[in-house]
Amino acid sequence: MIIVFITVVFFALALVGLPLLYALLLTTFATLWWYGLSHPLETILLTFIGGVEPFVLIAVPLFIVGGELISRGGVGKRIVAFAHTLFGFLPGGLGVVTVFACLLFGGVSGSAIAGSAAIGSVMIPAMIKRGYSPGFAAALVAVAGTLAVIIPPSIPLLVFGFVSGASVRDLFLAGIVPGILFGIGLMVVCVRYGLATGCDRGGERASPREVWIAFKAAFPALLMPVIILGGIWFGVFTPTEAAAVAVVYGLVISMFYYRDIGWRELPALVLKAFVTSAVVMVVIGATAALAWVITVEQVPMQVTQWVKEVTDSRWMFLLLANVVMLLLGVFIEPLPALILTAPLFVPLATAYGVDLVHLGLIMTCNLAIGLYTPPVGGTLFVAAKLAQAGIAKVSYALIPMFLVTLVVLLAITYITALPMGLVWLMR
Amino acid sequence: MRRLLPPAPPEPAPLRLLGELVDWAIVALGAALVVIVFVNVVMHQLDLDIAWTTEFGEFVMVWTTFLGGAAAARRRGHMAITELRDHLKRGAGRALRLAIELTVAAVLALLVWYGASIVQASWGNILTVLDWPMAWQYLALPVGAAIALVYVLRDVVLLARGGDLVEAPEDVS
Repeated sequence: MIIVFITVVFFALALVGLPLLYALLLTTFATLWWYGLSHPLETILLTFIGGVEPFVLIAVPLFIVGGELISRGGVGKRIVAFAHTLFGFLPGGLGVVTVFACLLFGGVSGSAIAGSAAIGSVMIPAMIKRGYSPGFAAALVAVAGTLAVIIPPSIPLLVFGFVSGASVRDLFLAGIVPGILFGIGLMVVCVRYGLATGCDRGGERASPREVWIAFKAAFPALLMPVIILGGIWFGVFTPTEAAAVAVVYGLVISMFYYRDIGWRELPALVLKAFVTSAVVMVVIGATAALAWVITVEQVPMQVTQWVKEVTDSRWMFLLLANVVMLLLGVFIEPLPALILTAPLFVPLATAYGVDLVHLGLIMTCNLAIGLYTPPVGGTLFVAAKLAQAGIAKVSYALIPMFLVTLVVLLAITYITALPMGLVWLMR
Repeated sequence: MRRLLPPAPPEPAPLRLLGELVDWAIVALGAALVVIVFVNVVMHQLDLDIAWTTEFGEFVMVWTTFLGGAAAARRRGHMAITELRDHLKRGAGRALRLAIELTVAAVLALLVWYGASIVQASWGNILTVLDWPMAWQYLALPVGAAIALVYVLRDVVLLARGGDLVEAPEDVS
Protein backbone atom coordinates (compact mmCIF):
# COMPACT_ATOMS: atom_id res chain seq x y z
CA MET A 1 0.00 0.00 0.00
CA ILE A 2 3.00 2.28 -0.47
CA ILE A 3 1.19 4.09 -3.27
CA VAL A 4 -1.69 5.11 -0.97
CA PHE A 5 0.76 6.37 1.65
CA ILE A 6 2.68 8.36 -0.97
CA THR A 7 -0.49 9.85 -2.51
CA VAL A 8 -1.95 10.89 0.85
CA VAL A 9 1.28 12.38 2.20
CA PHE A 10 2.09 14.21 -1.03
CA PHE A 11 -1.38 15.73 -1.48
CA ALA A 12 -1.62 16.70 2.18
CA LEU A 13 1.71 18.52 1.97
CA ALA A 14 1.01 20.09 -1.43
CA LEU A 15 -2.53 21.25 -0.64
CA VAL A 16 -1.54 23.17 2.51
CA GLY A 17 0.81 25.14 0.26
CA LEU A 18 4.24 23.57 0.66
CA PRO A 19 5.99 24.15 -2.69
CA LEU A 20 5.80 21.00 -4.85
CA LEU A 21 9.59 20.59 -4.85
CA TYR A 22 9.72 20.23 -1.06
CA ALA A 23 6.46 18.27 -0.89
CA LEU A 24 8.02 15.70 -3.25
CA LEU A 25 11.32 15.48 -1.38
CA LEU A 26 9.61 15.26 1.99
CA THR A 27 7.24 12.56 0.70
CA THR A 28 10.27 10.61 -0.50
CA PHE A 29 12.04 10.93 2.87
CA ALA A 30 8.81 10.08 4.76
CA THR A 31 8.30 6.93 2.67
CA LEU A 32 11.83 5.72 3.40
CA TRP A 33 11.35 6.35 7.11
CA TRP A 34 7.78 4.97 7.47
CA TYR A 35 8.56 1.72 5.65
CA GLY A 36 12.05 1.43 7.14
CA LEU A 37 13.64 1.24 3.67
CA SER A 38 17.40 1.25 3.88
CA HIS A 39 18.30 3.34 0.81
CA PRO A 40 20.83 5.96 1.96
CA LEU A 41 19.77 9.60 1.47
CA GLU A 42 22.87 10.13 -0.68
CA THR A 43 21.48 7.67 -3.25
CA ILE A 44 18.17 9.53 -3.30
CA LEU A 45 19.90 12.88 -3.76
CA LEU A 46 22.06 11.49 -6.55
CA THR A 47 18.87 10.53 -8.42
CA PHE A 48 17.63 14.06 -7.69
CA ILE A 49 20.71 15.56 -9.36
CA GLY A 50 20.59 12.93 -12.09
CA GLY A 51 16.99 13.94 -12.78
CA VAL A 52 17.92 17.46 -13.86
CA GLU A 53 21.11 16.57 -15.69
CA PRO A 54 20.14 14.84 -18.97
CA PHE A 55 21.23 16.59 -22.14
CA VAL A 56 17.75 16.33 -23.73
CA LEU A 57 16.26 18.49 -20.96
CA ILE A 58 18.44 21.41 -22.05
CA ALA A 59 15.72 21.86 -24.69
CA VAL A 60 13.28 23.09 -21.98
CA PRO A 61 15.05 26.36 -21.04
CA LEU A 62 16.14 26.89 -24.64
CA PHE A 63 12.60 26.61 -26.03
CA ILE A 64 11.45 29.03 -23.30
CA VAL A 65 14.15 31.55 -24.31
CA GLY A 66 13.26 31.14 -28.01
CA GLY A 67 9.54 31.63 -27.34
CA GLU A 68 10.22 34.70 -25.16
CA LEU A 69 12.42 36.25 -27.84
CA ILE A 70 9.87 35.87 -30.58
CA SER A 71 6.79 36.73 -28.51
CA ARG A 72 8.18 39.70 -26.55
CA GLY A 73 7.91 42.10 -29.47
CA GLY A 74 5.30 42.60 -32.12
CA VAL A 75 5.08 39.06 -33.48
CA GLY A 76 1.66 38.52 -31.89
CA LYS A 77 0.33 41.64 -33.65
CA ARG A 78 1.72 40.58 -37.05
CA ILE A 79 0.28 37.08 -36.75
CA VAL A 80 -3.11 38.56 -35.80
CA ALA A 81 -3.03 40.93 -38.79
CA PHE A 82 -2.31 38.02 -41.14
CA ALA A 83 -5.08 35.87 -39.60
CA HIS A 84 -7.47 38.80 -39.96
CA THR A 85 -6.99 39.08 -43.71
CA LEU A 86 -7.83 35.36 -44.00
CA PHE A 87 -10.82 34.97 -41.66
CA GLY A 88 -12.04 38.44 -40.71
CA PHE A 89 -14.97 38.23 -43.13
CA LEU A 90 -16.71 35.29 -41.35
CA PRO A 91 -19.54 35.78 -38.85
CA GLY A 92 -17.85 35.81 -35.45
CA GLY A 93 -14.78 36.64 -37.51
CA LEU A 94 -12.75 38.24 -34.73
CA GLY A 95 -13.21 35.08 -32.65
CA VAL A 96 -12.11 32.90 -35.55
CA VAL A 97 -9.10 35.17 -36.07
CA THR A 98 -8.21 34.74 -32.38
CA VAL A 99 -8.29 30.95 -32.65
CA PHE A 100 -6.30 30.87 -35.90
CA ALA A 101 -3.70 33.27 -34.48
CA CYS A 102 -3.34 31.03 -31.42
CA LEU A 103 -2.78 28.01 -33.69
CA LEU A 104 -0.05 29.86 -35.60
CA PHE A 105 1.45 31.15 -32.40
CA GLY A 106 1.50 27.59 -31.03
CA GLY A 107 3.96 26.75 -33.79
CA VAL A 108 6.31 29.42 -32.48
CA SER A 109 5.97 28.97 -28.73
CA GLY A 110 5.43 25.95 -26.52
CA SER A 111 3.88 27.79 -23.59
CA ALA A 112 0.12 28.23 -23.09
CA ILE A 113 0.45 31.28 -20.88
CA ALA A 114 2.68 33.04 -23.42
CA GLY A 115 0.12 32.21 -26.13
CA SER A 116 -2.84 33.62 -24.19
CA ALA A 117 -0.92 36.75 -23.25
CA ALA A 118 0.50 37.50 -26.71
CA ILE A 119 -2.71 36.96 -28.70
CA GLY A 120 -5.12 37.99 -25.94
CA SER A 121 -3.51 41.39 -25.41
CA VAL A 122 -4.30 42.24 -29.05
CA MET A 123 -7.58 40.39 -29.62
CA ILE A 124 -9.48 40.81 -26.34
CA PRO A 125 -9.72 44.63 -26.60
CA ALA A 126 -10.62 44.30 -30.30
CA MET A 127 -13.40 41.78 -29.57
CA ILE A 128 -14.85 43.83 -26.71
CA LYS A 129 -14.84 46.97 -28.88
CA ARG A 130 -16.78 45.05 -31.53
CA GLY A 131 -19.48 44.11 -28.99
CA TYR A 132 -18.38 40.65 -27.80
CA SER A 133 -19.04 40.17 -24.09
CA PRO A 134 -15.83 40.40 -22.00
CA GLY A 135 -16.69 36.97 -20.55
CA PHE A 136 -16.77 35.35 -24.01
CA ALA A 137 -13.60 37.11 -25.16
CA ALA A 138 -11.71 35.98 -22.04
CA ALA A 139 -13.05 32.42 -22.23
CA LEU A 140 -12.04 32.11 -25.87
CA VAL A 141 -8.48 33.33 -25.28
CA ALA A 142 -8.12 31.12 -22.17
CA VAL A 143 -9.07 28.05 -24.21
CA ALA A 144 -7.35 28.92 -27.49
CA GLY A 145 -4.10 29.87 -25.72
CA THR A 146 -3.67 26.26 -24.60
CA LEU A 147 -3.40 25.20 -28.25
CA ALA A 148 0.25 26.26 -27.87
CA VAL A 149 1.04 23.16 -25.78
CA ILE A 150 -0.73 20.80 -28.19
CA ILE A 151 0.67 22.25 -31.43
CA PRO A 152 4.43 21.54 -31.59
CA PRO A 153 6.88 22.61 -30.32
CA SER A 154 5.40 21.89 -26.90
CA ILE A 155 7.21 21.91 -23.58
CA PRO A 156 4.83 19.39 -21.90
CA LEU A 157 5.20 16.95 -24.83
CA LEU A 158 8.98 17.38 -24.67
CA VAL A 159 9.01 16.61 -20.94
CA PHE A 160 6.66 13.65 -21.42
CA GLY A 161 9.05 12.30 -24.05
CA PHE A 162 11.83 12.49 -21.51
CA VAL A 163 10.02 10.81 -18.60
CA SER A 164 8.41 8.10 -20.71
CA GLY A 165 11.11 7.40 -23.26
CA ALA A 166 8.67 8.08 -26.13
CA SER A 167 10.15 9.80 -29.19
CA VAL A 168 9.83 13.59 -29.02
CA ARG A 169 9.80 13.71 -32.80
CA ASP A 170 6.73 11.44 -32.87
CA LEU A 171 5.04 13.33 -30.02
CA PHE A 172 5.47 16.59 -31.94
CA LEU A 173 3.91 14.98 -35.03
CA ALA A 174 0.99 13.61 -33.01
CA GLY A 175 0.07 17.07 -31.71
CA ILE A 176 -0.72 18.60 -35.11
CA VAL A 177 -4.08 17.05 -36.03
CA PRO A 178 -5.57 17.25 -32.50
CA GLY A 179 -4.46 20.89 -32.25
CA ILE A 180 -6.18 21.71 -35.54
CA LEU A 181 -9.33 19.81 -34.49
CA PHE A 182 -9.56 21.74 -31.21
CA GLY A 183 -9.08 24.91 -33.28
CA ILE A 184 -11.86 24.06 -35.74
CA GLY A 185 -14.23 23.21 -32.88
CA LEU A 186 -13.57 26.59 -31.27
CA MET A 187 -14.05 28.39 -34.60
CA VAL A 188 -17.50 26.80 -34.92
CA VAL A 189 -18.38 28.15 -31.45
CA CYS A 190 -17.26 31.62 -32.59
CA VAL A 191 -19.28 31.61 -35.81
CA ARG A 192 -22.36 30.53 -33.86
CA TYR A 193 -21.75 33.26 -31.28
CA GLY A 194 -21.34 35.89 -34.01
CA LEU A 195 -24.63 34.87 -35.66
CA ALA A 196 -26.60 34.40 -32.42
CA THR A 197 -25.62 37.66 -30.75
CA GLY A 198 -25.39 39.70 -33.94
CA CYS A 199 -22.35 41.53 -32.58
CA ASP A 200 -20.03 40.44 -35.39
CA ARG A 201 -21.77 39.49 -38.65
CA GLY A 202 -18.52 39.53 -40.50
CA GLY A 203 -17.09 42.01 -42.95
CA GLU A 204 -15.64 42.18 -46.41
CA ARG A 205 -13.12 39.71 -47.71
CA ALA A 206 -9.55 40.98 -47.85
CA SER A 207 -8.10 41.30 -51.34
CA PRO A 208 -5.31 38.87 -52.30
CA ARG A 209 -2.94 41.86 -52.23
CA GLU A 210 -3.84 42.63 -48.60
CA VAL A 211 -3.37 38.96 -47.67
CA TRP A 212 0.03 38.99 -49.34
CA ILE A 213 1.20 42.14 -47.53
CA ALA A 214 0.11 40.76 -44.13
CA PHE A 215 1.71 37.41 -44.94
CA LYS A 216 5.02 39.05 -45.82
CA ALA A 217 5.07 40.95 -42.52
CA ALA A 218 4.43 37.77 -40.51
CA PHE A 219 6.60 35.52 -42.71
CA PRO A 220 9.85 35.48 -40.68
CA ALA A 221 7.87 34.46 -37.59
CA LEU A 222 5.90 31.85 -39.51
CA LEU A 223 9.12 30.43 -40.93
CA MET A 224 10.39 29.59 -37.43
CA PRO A 225 8.19 26.52 -36.88
CA VAL A 226 8.97 25.35 -40.40
CA ILE A 227 12.70 25.39 -39.67
CA ILE A 228 12.47 23.90 -36.17
CA LEU A 229 9.88 21.21 -36.80
CA GLY A 230 11.10 20.42 -40.30
CA GLY A 231 14.60 20.04 -38.91
CA ILE A 232 13.42 17.63 -36.21
CA TRP A 233 11.11 15.58 -38.44
CA PHE A 234 13.63 15.18 -41.23
CA GLY A 235 16.40 14.28 -38.81
CA VAL A 236 18.57 17.33 -39.48
CA PHE A 237 18.86 17.95 -35.75
CA THR A 238 17.69 16.61 -32.39
CA PRO A 239 14.97 18.43 -30.38
CA THR A 240 17.68 19.87 -28.10
CA GLU A 241 19.63 21.20 -31.07
CA ALA A 242 16.39 22.50 -32.59
CA ALA A 243 15.81 24.49 -29.41
CA ALA A 244 19.23 26.15 -29.76
CA VAL A 245 18.44 26.93 -33.40
CA ALA A 246 15.13 28.46 -32.26
CA VAL A 247 16.98 30.74 -29.84
CA VAL A 248 19.46 31.95 -32.46
CA TYR A 249 16.72 32.39 -35.08
CA GLY A 250 14.48 34.23 -32.59
CA LEU A 251 17.43 36.45 -31.64
CA VAL A 252 18.23 37.36 -35.25
CA ILE A 253 14.58 37.99 -36.16
CA SER A 254 13.57 40.08 -33.17
CA MET A 255 16.83 42.03 -32.79
CA PHE A 256 17.89 42.65 -36.37
CA TYR A 257 14.82 42.16 -38.56
CA TYR A 258 11.83 43.38 -36.53
CA ARG A 259 14.06 45.36 -34.11
CA ASP A 260 11.59 44.69 -31.27
CA ILE A 261 14.28 43.82 -28.71
CA GLY A 262 17.56 45.52 -27.81
CA TRP A 263 20.73 44.21 -26.16
CA ARG A 264 19.77 45.73 -22.82
CA GLU A 265 16.71 43.54 -22.57
CA LEU A 266 18.59 40.29 -23.10
CA PRO A 267 19.97 39.60 -19.58
CA ALA A 268 16.52 39.88 -17.97
CA LEU A 269 15.02 37.72 -20.71
CA VAL A 270 17.65 34.99 -20.34
CA LEU A 271 17.42 35.09 -16.54
CA LYS A 272 13.63 34.88 -16.54
CA ALA A 273 13.62 31.95 -18.97
CA PHE A 274 16.27 30.01 -17.03
CA VAL A 275 14.66 30.64 -13.64
CA THR A 276 11.26 29.63 -15.05
CA SER A 277 12.81 26.45 -16.37
CA ALA A 278 14.81 25.82 -13.16
CA VAL A 279 11.56 25.92 -11.18
CA VAL A 280 10.28 23.15 -13.43
CA MET A 281 13.58 21.23 -13.54
CA VAL A 282 13.98 20.95 -9.75
CA VAL A 283 10.48 19.48 -9.61
CA ILE A 284 11.46 17.05 -12.38
CA GLY A 285 14.53 16.08 -10.35
CA ALA A 286 12.58 15.63 -7.12
CA THR A 287 10.01 13.55 -8.98
CA ALA A 288 12.82 11.42 -10.36
CA ALA A 289 13.91 10.73 -6.77
CA LEU A 290 10.39 9.75 -5.70
CA ALA A 291 9.88 7.74 -8.89
CA TRP A 292 13.11 5.86 -8.15
CA VAL A 293 11.80 4.74 -4.74
CA ILE A 294 8.42 3.86 -6.27
CA THR A 295 10.09 1.80 -8.99
CA VAL A 296 12.58 0.04 -6.71
CA GLU A 297 9.67 -0.94 -4.48
CA GLN A 298 7.87 -2.26 -7.58
CA VAL A 299 4.82 -0.04 -7.14
CA PRO A 300 4.08 0.47 -10.87
CA MET A 301 3.90 -3.34 -11.25
CA GLN A 302 1.39 -3.60 -8.38
CA VAL A 303 -0.74 -0.76 -9.73
CA THR A 304 -0.74 -2.30 -13.19
CA GLN A 305 -1.88 -5.59 -11.67
CA TRP A 306 -4.74 -3.97 -9.73
CA VAL A 307 -6.02 -2.01 -12.68
CA LYS A 308 -5.71 -5.10 -14.86
CA GLU A 309 -7.84 -7.00 -12.34
CA VAL A 310 -10.53 -4.31 -12.43
CA THR A 311 -10.79 -4.16 -16.19
CA ASP A 312 -9.26 -5.80 -19.21
CA SER A 313 -10.62 -3.28 -21.65
CA ARG A 314 -8.37 -0.80 -23.35
CA TRP A 315 -11.44 1.39 -23.74
CA MET A 316 -11.96 1.60 -19.98
CA PHE A 317 -8.27 2.26 -19.35
CA LEU A 318 -8.30 5.23 -21.73
CA LEU A 319 -11.42 6.58 -20.02
CA LEU A 320 -9.73 6.18 -16.64
CA ALA A 321 -6.62 8.00 -17.90
CA ASN A 322 -8.77 10.88 -19.17
CA VAL A 323 -10.74 11.26 -15.94
CA VAL A 324 -7.65 11.09 -13.71
CA MET A 325 -5.75 13.64 -15.82
CA LEU A 326 -8.74 16.01 -16.07
CA LEU A 327 -9.17 16.01 -12.29
CA LEU A 328 -5.45 16.32 -11.62
CA GLY A 329 -5.19 19.16 -14.15
CA VAL A 330 -7.70 21.23 -12.19
CA PHE A 331 -5.32 21.30 -9.22
CA ILE A 332 -1.80 21.00 -10.61
CA GLU A 333 0.09 22.64 -13.48
CA PRO A 334 0.63 20.40 -16.54
CA LEU A 335 4.36 19.78 -16.10
CA PRO A 336 4.44 18.51 -12.51
CA ALA A 337 1.24 16.55 -13.16
CA LEU A 338 2.85 14.83 -16.16
CA ILE A 339 6.04 14.01 -14.32
CA LEU A 340 4.18 12.70 -11.27
CA THR A 341 1.84 10.37 -13.08
CA ALA A 342 3.97 9.21 -16.01
CA PRO A 343 5.79 6.50 -13.97
CA LEU A 344 2.38 4.95 -13.18
CA PHE A 345 0.66 5.47 -16.54
CA VAL A 346 3.51 4.36 -18.78
CA PRO A 347 3.59 0.69 -17.64
CA LEU A 348 -0.23 0.66 -17.68
CA ALA A 349 -0.33 1.94 -21.25
CA THR A 350 2.17 -0.73 -22.26
CA ALA A 351 0.03 -3.39 -20.55
CA TYR A 352 -3.07 -2.25 -22.45
CA GLY A 353 -1.27 -1.92 -25.76
CA VAL A 354 -1.64 1.87 -25.93
CA ASP A 355 1.14 3.62 -27.86
CA LEU A 356 3.13 5.87 -25.49
CA VAL A 357 2.96 8.71 -28.03
CA HIS A 358 -0.84 8.47 -27.99
CA LEU A 359 -0.85 8.37 -24.18
CA GLY A 360 1.40 11.43 -23.92
CA LEU A 361 -0.82 13.37 -26.26
CA ILE A 362 -4.02 12.45 -24.37
CA MET A 363 -2.39 13.37 -21.05
CA THR A 364 -1.20 16.73 -22.41
CA CYS A 365 -4.62 17.61 -23.89
CA ASN A 366 -6.36 16.81 -20.59
CA LEU A 367 -3.88 18.83 -18.56
CA ALA A 368 -4.26 21.73 -21.01
CA ILE A 369 -7.98 21.75 -20.21
CA GLY A 370 -7.01 22.13 -16.54
CA LEU A 371 -5.34 25.43 -17.44
CA TYR A 372 -8.72 27.08 -18.00
CA THR A 373 -11.05 25.03 -15.81
CA PRO A 374 -12.48 27.31 -13.10
CA PRO A 375 -11.93 28.26 -10.36
CA VAL A 376 -8.18 28.41 -10.96
CA GLY A 377 -5.89 28.08 -13.94
CA GLY A 378 -2.98 29.77 -15.69
CA THR A 379 -4.59 30.88 -18.96
CA LEU A 380 -7.94 31.49 -17.24
CA PHE A 381 -6.33 34.11 -14.99
CA VAL A 382 -4.33 35.75 -17.78
CA ALA A 383 -7.36 36.06 -20.06
CA ALA A 384 -9.80 37.16 -17.34
CA LYS A 385 -7.35 39.85 -16.28
CA LEU A 386 -6.89 41.10 -19.85
CA ALA A 387 -10.69 41.31 -20.31
CA GLN A 388 -11.31 42.59 -16.77
CA ALA A 389 -14.06 39.98 -16.53
CA GLY A 390 -15.13 38.12 -13.39
CA ILE A 391 -14.41 34.39 -13.19
CA ALA A 392 -18.17 33.63 -12.95
CA LYS A 393 -18.95 35.41 -16.27
CA VAL A 394 -16.00 33.69 -17.94
CA SER A 395 -17.11 30.31 -16.58
CA TYR A 396 -20.57 30.74 -18.10
CA ALA A 397 -19.10 31.62 -21.51
CA LEU A 398 -16.79 28.59 -21.22
CA ILE A 399 -19.66 26.05 -21.24
CA PRO A 400 -20.06 25.66 -25.05
CA MET A 401 -16.28 25.60 -25.46
CA PHE A 402 -15.99 22.83 -22.85
CA LEU A 403 -18.55 20.76 -24.74
CA VAL A 404 -16.66 21.14 -28.02
CA THR A 405 -13.37 20.35 -26.28
CA LEU A 406 -14.79 17.18 -24.72
CA VAL A 407 -16.06 15.95 -28.08
CA VAL A 408 -12.63 16.48 -29.65
CA LEU A 409 -10.95 14.88 -26.62
CA LEU A 410 -13.10 11.75 -26.95
CA ALA A 411 -12.41 11.66 -30.69
CA ILE A 412 -8.63 11.79 -30.32
CA THR A 413 -8.78 9.26 -27.46
CA TYR A 414 -10.81 6.63 -29.27
CA ILE A 415 -10.05 7.27 -32.96
CA THR A 416 -6.37 6.40 -32.70
CA ALA A 417 -5.66 7.39 -36.30
CA LEU A 418 -6.45 11.06 -35.61
CA PRO A 419 -3.38 11.78 -33.48
CA MET A 420 -1.30 8.83 -34.70
CA GLY A 421 -1.93 9.02 -38.48
CA LEU A 422 0.95 11.43 -39.16
CA VAL A 423 3.21 9.45 -36.81
CA TRP A 424 2.54 6.19 -38.68
CA LEU A 425 3.10 7.99 -41.96
CA MET A 426 6.52 9.32 -40.90
CA ARG A 427 7.78 6.29 -38.92
CA MET B 1 23.39 47.59 -13.74
CA ARG B 2 20.40 46.68 -11.60
CA ARG B 3 17.95 47.85 -14.25
CA LEU B 4 19.06 45.03 -16.54
CA LEU B 5 17.58 42.41 -14.22
CA PRO B 6 13.97 41.85 -13.15
CA PRO B 7 13.12 43.13 -9.65
CA ALA B 8 13.22 41.00 -6.48
CA PRO B 9 11.48 41.65 -3.15
CA PRO B 10 13.05 44.38 -0.96
CA GLU B 11 15.90 42.96 1.16
CA PRO B 12 19.06 44.00 3.03
CA ALA B 13 22.07 44.96 0.89
CA PRO B 14 24.20 41.80 1.45
CA LEU B 15 21.26 39.60 0.40
CA ARG B 16 20.70 41.75 -2.67
CA LEU B 17 24.35 41.48 -3.60
CA LEU B 18 24.27 37.69 -3.25
CA GLY B 19 21.07 37.57 -5.30
CA GLU B 20 22.52 39.64 -8.12
CA LEU B 21 25.66 37.51 -8.14
CA VAL B 22 23.46 34.43 -8.58
CA ASP B 23 21.40 36.18 -11.28
CA TRP B 24 24.44 37.14 -13.34
CA ALA B 25 25.93 33.64 -12.96
CA ILE B 26 22.69 32.23 -14.39
CA VAL B 27 22.72 34.70 -17.29
CA ALA B 28 26.35 33.82 -18.09
CA LEU B 29 25.83 30.06 -17.84
CA GLY B 30 22.58 30.26 -19.81
CA ALA B 31 24.22 32.24 -22.60
CA ALA B 32 27.11 29.75 -22.64
CA LEU B 33 24.65 26.89 -22.96
CA VAL B 34 22.97 28.46 -26.00
CA VAL B 35 26.33 29.11 -27.66
CA ILE B 36 27.69 25.61 -27.02
CA VAL B 37 24.64 23.76 -28.27
CA PHE B 38 24.27 26.00 -31.31
CA VAL B 39 27.94 25.81 -32.27
CA ASN B 40 27.67 22.05 -32.01
CA VAL B 41 24.69 22.06 -34.41
CA VAL B 42 26.82 23.93 -36.94
CA MET B 43 29.83 21.64 -36.41
CA HIS B 44 27.51 18.65 -36.61
CA GLN B 45 26.45 19.74 -40.12
CA LEU B 46 30.14 19.91 -41.04
CA ASP B 47 30.68 16.42 -39.56
CA LEU B 48 32.91 17.89 -36.83
CA ASP B 49 31.20 17.00 -33.55
CA ILE B 50 32.67 18.54 -30.42
CA ALA B 51 33.23 15.65 -28.02
CA TRP B 52 32.72 17.55 -24.80
CA THR B 53 29.40 19.25 -25.69
CA THR B 54 27.22 16.71 -23.91
CA GLU B 55 29.25 16.54 -20.71
CA PHE B 56 29.78 20.29 -20.53
CA GLY B 57 26.13 20.96 -21.42
CA GLU B 58 24.96 18.69 -18.61
CA PHE B 59 27.44 20.28 -16.22
CA VAL B 60 26.11 23.76 -17.01
CA MET B 61 22.53 22.51 -16.88
CA VAL B 62 22.95 21.18 -13.32
CA TRP B 63 24.46 24.48 -12.17
CA THR B 64 21.86 26.73 -13.86
CA THR B 65 19.09 24.55 -12.43
CA PHE B 66 20.22 24.67 -8.80
CA LEU B 67 21.26 28.34 -8.97
CA GLY B 68 17.93 29.03 -10.72
CA GLY B 69 16.19 27.24 -7.86
CA ALA B 70 17.94 29.61 -5.43
CA ALA B 71 16.96 32.65 -7.56
CA ALA B 72 13.36 31.38 -7.52
CA ALA B 73 13.49 30.99 -3.72
CA ARG B 74 14.63 34.62 -3.50
CA ARG B 75 11.62 35.71 -5.58
CA ARG B 76 9.27 33.26 -3.78
CA GLY B 77 8.56 31.79 -7.18
CA HIS B 78 8.55 28.02 -6.57
CA MET B 79 5.48 26.16 -7.82
CA ALA B 80 2.92 25.65 -5.06
CA ILE B 81 -0.82 25.18 -4.65
CA THR B 82 -1.56 28.50 -2.98
CA GLU B 83 -5.38 28.46 -2.75
CA LEU B 84 -5.72 27.30 0.88
CA ARG B 85 -2.70 29.27 2.03
CA ASP B 86 -4.09 32.50 0.53
CA HIS B 87 -7.68 32.07 1.72
CA LEU B 88 -6.97 31.58 5.41
CA LYS B 89 -7.63 34.48 7.75
CA ARG B 90 -4.61 36.56 8.68
CA GLY B 91 -3.58 34.88 11.96
CA ALA B 92 -4.02 31.28 10.82
CA GLY B 93 -2.61 32.09 7.38
CA ARG B 94 0.50 33.59 8.91
CA ALA B 95 0.99 30.60 11.23
CA LEU B 96 0.60 28.20 8.30
CA ARG B 97 3.03 30.22 6.20
CA LEU B 98 5.58 30.21 9.01
CA ALA B 99 5.20 26.43 9.40
CA ILE B 100 5.69 26.00 5.63
CA GLU B 101 8.83 28.15 5.52
CA LEU B 102 10.32 26.33 8.55
CA THR B 103 9.64 22.96 6.88
CA VAL B 104 11.29 24.21 3.68
CA ALA B 105 14.28 25.38 5.72
CA ALA B 106 14.60 21.95 7.32
CA VAL B 107 14.50 20.16 3.94
CA LEU B 108 17.07 22.61 2.51
CA ALA B 109 19.35 21.98 5.53
CA LEU B 110 19.17 18.24 4.76
CA LEU B 111 20.03 18.96 1.12
CA VAL B 112 23.07 21.02 2.14
CA TRP B 113 24.29 18.37 4.63
CA TYR B 114 23.84 15.28 2.44
CA GLY B 115 24.80 17.20 -0.70
CA ALA B 116 28.13 18.05 0.92
CA SER B 117 28.60 14.40 1.78
CA ILE B 118 28.03 13.45 -1.88
CA VAL B 119 30.59 16.05 -2.97
CA GLN B 120 33.17 14.72 -0.51
CA ALA B 121 32.68 11.18 -1.76
CA SER B 122 33.06 12.03 -5.44
CA TRP B 123 36.43 13.77 -5.78
CA GLY B 124 37.80 10.52 -7.14
CA ASN B 125 35.19 10.09 -9.89
CA ILE B 126 36.32 11.83 -13.06
CA LEU B 127 34.13 13.01 -15.97
CA THR B 128 35.27 10.95 -18.98
CA VAL B 129 35.81 13.64 -21.60
CA LEU B 130 36.26 16.81 -19.56
CA ASP B 131 38.56 15.11 -17.04
CA TRP B 132 37.01 17.09 -14.17
CA PRO B 133 36.08 15.54 -10.80
CA MET B 134 32.33 14.81 -10.53
CA ALA B 135 32.45 16.68 -7.21
CA TRP B 136 32.43 19.98 -9.17
CA GLN B 137 29.13 19.05 -10.76
CA TYR B 138 27.54 17.72 -7.54
CA LEU B 139 28.66 20.87 -5.70
CA ALA B 140 25.75 22.66 -7.42
CA LEU B 141 23.23 20.95 -5.10
CA PRO B 142 24.64 21.99 -1.69
CA VAL B 143 25.59 25.45 -2.99
CA GLY B 144 22.16 26.09 -4.56
CA ALA B 145 20.38 24.72 -1.47
CA ALA B 146 22.53 26.84 0.88
CA ILE B 147 21.75 30.04 -1.05
CA ALA B 148 18.04 29.15 -1.15
CA LEU B 149 18.21 28.52 2.61
CA VAL B 150 19.51 32.08 3.13
CA TYR B 151 16.42 33.51 1.40
CA VAL B 152 14.01 31.16 3.14
CA LEU B 153 15.46 32.23 6.50
CA ARG B 154 15.01 35.85 5.36
CA ASP B 155 11.30 35.04 4.93
CA VAL B 156 11.12 33.28 8.31
CA VAL B 157 12.54 36.41 10.00
CA LEU B 158 10.15 38.60 8.03
CA LEU B 159 7.14 36.52 9.09
CA ALA B 160 8.28 36.33 12.71
CA ARG B 161 8.45 40.13 12.77
CA GLY B 162 4.88 40.34 11.54
CA GLY B 163 5.60 41.16 7.89
CA ASP B 164 3.84 39.71 4.83
CA LEU B 165 5.36 37.66 2.01
CA VAL B 166 4.47 38.86 -1.46
CA GLU B 167 5.25 36.71 -4.49
CA ALA B 168 7.18 38.31 -7.31
CA PRO B 169 4.84 38.00 -10.31
CA GLU B 170 6.36 35.28 -12.50
CA ASP B 171 4.49 33.19 -15.02
CA VAL B 172 5.45 29.54 -15.20
CA SER B 173 4.16 27.01 -17.67
